[in-house]
Amino acid sequence: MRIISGLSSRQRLLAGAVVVGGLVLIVAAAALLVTSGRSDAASEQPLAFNHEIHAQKGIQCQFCHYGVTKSPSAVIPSVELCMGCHQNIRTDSEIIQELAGYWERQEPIPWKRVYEQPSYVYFNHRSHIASGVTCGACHGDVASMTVAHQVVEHNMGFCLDCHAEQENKEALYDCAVCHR
Amino acid sequence: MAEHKWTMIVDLDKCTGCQACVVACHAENNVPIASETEVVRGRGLHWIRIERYWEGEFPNVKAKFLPVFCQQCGSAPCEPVCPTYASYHSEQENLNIQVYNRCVGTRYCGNNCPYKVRYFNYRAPEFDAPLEQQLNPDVTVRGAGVMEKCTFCIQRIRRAAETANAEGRPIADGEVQPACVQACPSDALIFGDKYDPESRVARMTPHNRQFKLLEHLGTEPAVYYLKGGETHVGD
Repeated sequence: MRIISGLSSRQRLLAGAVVVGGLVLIVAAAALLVTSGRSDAASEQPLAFNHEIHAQKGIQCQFCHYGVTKSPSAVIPSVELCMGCHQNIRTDSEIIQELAGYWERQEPIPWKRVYEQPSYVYFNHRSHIASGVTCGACHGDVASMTVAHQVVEHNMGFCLDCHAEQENKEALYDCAVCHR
Repeated sequence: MAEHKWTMIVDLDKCTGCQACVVACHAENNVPIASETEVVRGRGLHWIRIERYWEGEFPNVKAKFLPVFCQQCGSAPCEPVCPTYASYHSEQENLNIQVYNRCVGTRYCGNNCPYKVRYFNYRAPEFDAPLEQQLNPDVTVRGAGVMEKCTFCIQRIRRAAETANAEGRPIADGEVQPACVQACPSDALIFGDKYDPESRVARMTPHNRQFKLLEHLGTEPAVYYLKGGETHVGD
């Protein structure tokens, strides 16, 4: 205190300003940290695609995500696949006209990823579907979501919990199954 | 317990030292290309290297080539020394696996490897244009500070296994071909599952020309070298 009391009023003002400035910075950084976490991909999608409506009409997941039974990737469908139905269906709707805009400009829709794996993890949709894993086991009940959002945390524990219950557990516990 | 015994046969009498396997490996496995200065400092990276030996006196000199890559030892010196279990033995595939996301870069494995086939990423990988356009999406691009080595193209083995599994059948012989084997123009490299009695490698071993590198160390390599020298005619 003796040191501070020894300061001139101008210096004291300056010190105060530095402290206040520092506090503001900390609060701003904290706010940034909170908001920079994975926000709901839903609100950021370029087109308000509704999973629920499509599921209610009886469309199976693999009709659009047709890679799921054939390849490691489930596939985000191309605009062409959407237009296969929507050049005739609901053409008066605003969203469909927006979709048709992409088609006319021959542009892909810049969808935002909902589920993402790190670059050192290799997942194969085909093997899981072939082994009888349902889509919902990892993706939740997408059919009742208006906009798809992440409901299951895909971390290593999640994968291994399921692998541990399988008959060929030894094989599925090998690191090289997912990391290569 | 183990399902497969992935085995490579290198026919030295057929190898011409063309380096096609080296190029194929770089392309398949996203192996960065070190600059000349880095190589001089002993920081080059090649998962497969062709060692060249000169034999005889001038003018009767002959070049002999020895492709050396990870021998996928049955009793591997690199494995027990890893403090993070990044270098471990896959009981399933009978391979030495390197888990990059576990590796902290102590380099104990590289120092303990008698074949010197483990390489350390001293720098973050850089791929000069247009090489960055042809990176293999099935293989991790390793960051700086990580040890790496030949995997017998585990991504191709896994892909074949996953396909075969989904179709409810075993992996057929010849279905898995590492990039080097695929690229070899003189058929000097032969790859397959030794546990499959009908496979080409199983039928070719034991071979009267076979030897293994540094066999006396007891590392039990999964790579057979064939060498008959001047006496060799045909298979």
